[in-house]
Amino acid sequence: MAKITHAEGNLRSDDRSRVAELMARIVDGDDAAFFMLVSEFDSRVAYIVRQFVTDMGRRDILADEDELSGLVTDAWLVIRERAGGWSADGAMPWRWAHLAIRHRVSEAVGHRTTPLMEDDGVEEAAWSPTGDCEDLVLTRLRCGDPRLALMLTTLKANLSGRDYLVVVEYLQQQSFGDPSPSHTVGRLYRVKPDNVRQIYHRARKRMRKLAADDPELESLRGFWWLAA
Amino acid sequence: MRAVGSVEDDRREPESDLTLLCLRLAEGFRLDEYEHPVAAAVAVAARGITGLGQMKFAERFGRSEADVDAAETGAVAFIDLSAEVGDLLEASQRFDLLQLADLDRAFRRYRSSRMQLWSTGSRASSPA
Repeated sequence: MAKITHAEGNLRSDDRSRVAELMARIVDGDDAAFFMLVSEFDSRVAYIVRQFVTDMGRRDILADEDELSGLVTDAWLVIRERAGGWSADGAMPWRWAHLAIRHRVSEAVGHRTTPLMEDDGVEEAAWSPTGDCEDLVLTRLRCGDPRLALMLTTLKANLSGRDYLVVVEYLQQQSFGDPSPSHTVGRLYRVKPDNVRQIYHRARKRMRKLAADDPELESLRGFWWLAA
Repeated sequence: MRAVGSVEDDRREPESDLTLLCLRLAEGFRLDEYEHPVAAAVAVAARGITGLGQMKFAERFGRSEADVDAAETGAVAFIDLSAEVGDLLEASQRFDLLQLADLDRAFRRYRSSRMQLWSTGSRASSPA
């Protein structure tokens, strides 16, 4: 597929009428039309968001699929919030709302920072709120559940340092009865709750696939964490 | 066949994951005090996949418009959503149903813990 090099570079003549129709339905309160709009035109908004992130000097975010996906979703929500003020005679909604989108991205992205090194041995201590996450994992391992030990070892081998800690902390919060573990973990690790959920569910999905494909992980197939 | 280096544009959009959007919508519905916010967002998303209005959607799946509207306004629990809703989302491969079910569970737990707190508080403050 050819790369889209401009947010409206491959605009079709019927796109405008389709966008106008869907925006009108959104204004009428039809949220299903919002899903249609996103499904059909997501790449336009994603392009604009990537541009803003790059302009803000946060190229590190471009490599973070979850963070970027959250920003694009935020941008769509800006368009939805402002749908009532859009006119079909003007620019496309994502161009028309670009200042508001930029503002929302800027709020989320903040100031330029130095990207964290994944394997420098310092990151986990920096990310850990108390520094004892690893100890908690080890304590659980000492409880003697070999399947839990295997799952944690496999998780650690397949996730980044941060994602591993997020998943383990999420599991712990859940087991403590925290009604909203994504918010708690998000605060601890400075990750948005949505992203915590994404990290957690992607990890689970990945583990499920690994358990299904790898004979050495066969014992994990019925493990409670991987069960639907 | 496409020549090497050609810039032909087949105009296909990349298929993005819509789970996050559904979750955000559900959070908005929760603030609007929908009884079943995740179920409402899921029902809306399912119709969004089809591109149909409420009436056509109801006709297509042999439901009444009132049933479709009830699901989309959070009057139907996640577990009681009609089968086509799950089927549509699953077939689109753009939603993580497990993640949505988990959020539904989290919201319900949060709600029941709040209600528990509220009822405990009421008892404590009510006259003996």
